[in-house]
Amino acid sequence: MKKEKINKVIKHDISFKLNGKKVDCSIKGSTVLLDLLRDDLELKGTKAGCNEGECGACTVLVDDAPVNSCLYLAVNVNGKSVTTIEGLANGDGELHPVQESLVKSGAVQCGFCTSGMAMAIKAMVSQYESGQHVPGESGNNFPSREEIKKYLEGNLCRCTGYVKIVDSAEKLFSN
Amino acid sequence: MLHVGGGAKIYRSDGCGTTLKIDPYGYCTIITGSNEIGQGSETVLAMMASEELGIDLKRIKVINTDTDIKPWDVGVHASRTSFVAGNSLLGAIKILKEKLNKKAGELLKTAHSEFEYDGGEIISNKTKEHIALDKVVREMHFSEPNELAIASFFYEPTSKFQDKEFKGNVSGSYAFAAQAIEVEVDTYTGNVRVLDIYVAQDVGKVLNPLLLGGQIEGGILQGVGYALTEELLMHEGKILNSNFHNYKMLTAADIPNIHFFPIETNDKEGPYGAKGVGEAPLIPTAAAIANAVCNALDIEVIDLPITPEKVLRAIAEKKKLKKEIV
Amino acid sequence: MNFEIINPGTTKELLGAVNKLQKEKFRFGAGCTDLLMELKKKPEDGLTIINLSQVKDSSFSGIKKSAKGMRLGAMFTAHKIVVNEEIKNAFNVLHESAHNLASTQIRQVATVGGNLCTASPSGDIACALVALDATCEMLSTTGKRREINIKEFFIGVRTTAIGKNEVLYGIAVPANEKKTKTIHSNFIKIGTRRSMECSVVSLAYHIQVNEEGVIIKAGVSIGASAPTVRFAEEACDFLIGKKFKAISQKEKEEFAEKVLSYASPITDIRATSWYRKEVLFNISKSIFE
Ligand SMILES: Cc1cc2nc3c(=O)[nH]c(=O)nc-3n(C[C@H](O)[C@H](O)[C@H](O)COP(=O)(O)OP(=O)(O)OC[C@H]3O[C@@H](n4cnc5c(N)ncnc54)[C@H](O)[C@@H]3O)c2cc1C
Ligand code: FES
Ligand code: FES
Repeated sequence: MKKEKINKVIKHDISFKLNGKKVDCSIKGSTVLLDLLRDDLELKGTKAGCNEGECGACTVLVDDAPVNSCLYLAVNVNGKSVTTIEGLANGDGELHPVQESLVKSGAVQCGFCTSGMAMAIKAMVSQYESGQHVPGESGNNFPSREEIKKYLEGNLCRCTGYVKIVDSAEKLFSN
Repeated sequence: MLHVGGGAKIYRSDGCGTTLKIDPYGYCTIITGSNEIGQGSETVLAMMASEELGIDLKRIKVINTDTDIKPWDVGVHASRTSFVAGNSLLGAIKILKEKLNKKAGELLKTAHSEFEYDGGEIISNKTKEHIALDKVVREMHFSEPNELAIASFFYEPTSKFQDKEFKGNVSGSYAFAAQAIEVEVDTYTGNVRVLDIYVAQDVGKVLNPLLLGGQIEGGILQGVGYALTEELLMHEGKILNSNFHNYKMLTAADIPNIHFFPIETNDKEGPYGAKGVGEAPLIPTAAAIANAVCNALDIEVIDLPITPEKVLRAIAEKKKLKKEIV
Repeated sequence: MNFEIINPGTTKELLGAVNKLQKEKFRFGAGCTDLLMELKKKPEDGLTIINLSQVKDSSFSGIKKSAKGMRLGAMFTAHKIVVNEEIKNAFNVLHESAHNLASTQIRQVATVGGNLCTASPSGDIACALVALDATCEMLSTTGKRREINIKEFFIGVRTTAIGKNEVLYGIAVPANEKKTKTIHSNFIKIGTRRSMECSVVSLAYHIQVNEEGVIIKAGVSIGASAPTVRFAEEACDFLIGKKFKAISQKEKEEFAEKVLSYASPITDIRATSWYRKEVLFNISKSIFE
């Protein structure tokens, strides 16, 4: 009886770009992106902190937008491009500027929040570059320190008190 | 505020063991009892070994995760790691250096026994003659009496386990800190906004300024959370808010301006004069915030966490009291 | 959590899917931020999700402006509201409500339609749209469009006026009055942190003032204070014809009392009813301070 039920599960074929490479897979309709990445595709860099959209540890980019992969249906990446922490640097052994800045600023302690933070900061940089940002009080096309803090509101960090994380983001915009 | 600053004997031992090894290629492995949970002990221990042995940081590995091989330690708490694990490492380094010095003296054909370690070389203080560290290790190993460059040490702080009345010199080192905090209280909503936090703390000798800053800032924001929002709500033994939705950790948007004034001292018990710094920043914070709120509202006490609701109630009660007096 | 999913690519396919599932258990998924949270906590057997986010239809996901006002497709995201400068200038209350919703990440996917259809008493965008006197536009499986004022949209906690054969298609916000010179428009959200808060109480207002400084149109609504977001009609009426800058202390309090008369808040682990009322009264006054 039970077995029959399992067999009846409809699978959905999806095809998307993951960290620059094409991926085809067949998934259940109710699979969330976080589980697809961590369990099926074995990319463990994206962290599950709360599974309910509160902590940001699971942040990945879907077509440059930062989303909580724990609350994102995997079927919706079909035809899109997904970037995880594993794909942030371009694989030549050098860190991405966002990672470099986090390291240099001393912004990593236990590291649990770090991949989500890095992806959120990366998204902030691209959204400011492409003009997809909140109309700022300053009228600048780069964020103020307060605006950086606001942008990172969805990424909890228990260790650092955020100061050095915000520093690391600020440095990216001042260069 | 006075707090323990490393080597607090909460258990009957607050010690830490280290096994230190240098291989024939000049790579160093530190097997320490002390865990790394983000406080930066890996970095600080590797820095100490690099400083003492003249080995490049990239050639030093710290192993601290495998309980099958690592020696005794009681955990990351009580601001103890740099202090206790640092002293333990320095103890192991001292033993290992005695062996290396002996061999280096033999190879350099000097009776002199004082050496400096720098840039992968062992250098005689007197003659300035030098020999590569890895070469000395190989000679130790391959020539008689065939020894490995390995040493173990267990450091136990001089502090005393508390007596039945909880008295005694409990800690190997003590931390002192003061914080001054400015808050803004919204009398319409009861929200407390922490504006500026001034922190003066006796931090011993600073080993790594960046890590020190991280410990202070992280501690302070936990202290602010403790003061304002973080509370585990229980009902009949069940936790009501076991999620980040209702257990409210502060976010980046909540951080106040932190002004840190490290007071650098020399703790004679600590490694290079250092002492523990991790907990001290979060202990005075809630008290200072509560004092500031009481001062702003002209009230005597308020219990933690200082929720907007408690603030509005305090304001309402004060109004009522005033009316009764008039 | 286990459900089936249907991914229509056009509005026609969407209506077809709704039609086909009339006798079964189905839910719409827009940004799915609310939906997935709900289903993770309380999984439902035999449920089908009709996925709205792959429907290609600019009336469903875009924004359109006209002399009559502005129309947002139900799939318009909170992020798109926040980065839209015209919305910020003309309807700041909507901008602020979206900007204070959840987090950067959630706002990328959370939709206006989802915020309304979830019908939570603490829905932030919903609260702003009530103050803006918006109109909800539904599309049924027969292709018929039905419009109702947002005040009639919320029926109770988590229940709306949408029929089983309908989907929320768009939301229209009327343009500001021609005679309007200044707009006092804001969203006040009360919580303990500065971010990532579910409103403990919220107040949305959009007050239009003419050249003489006289209030000619006012929209005030409250969130998290009653089973649904509520429009404080009497409080709005009270303001019409008064000079915004000359409102006296007594009038402020009278206004706040009127706002409060729409509130019947509960006590829960986030705040007591007493606190919610107290704050609502205070922030209502603060509009004029
Ligand atoms: C961590 C977190 C924080 C949050 N913080 C806030 C907050 O601060 N303020 C706030 O207001 N909300 C908040 N929410 C709730 C939620 O994010 C918002 O209500 C959001 O706007 C919902 O949009 P959605 O597109 O994700 O809706 P979905 O989850 O896709 O849908 C919600 C409901 O509406 C129905 N629905 C969606 N679209 C339609 C349509 N077009 N026609 C008919 N029915 C439809 C769905 O079937 C479902 O029942 C939070 C949620 C999370 C997880
Ligand atoms: S795991 Fe997704 S937000 Fe916490
Ligand atoms: S570094 Fe530990 S949670 Fe951020």
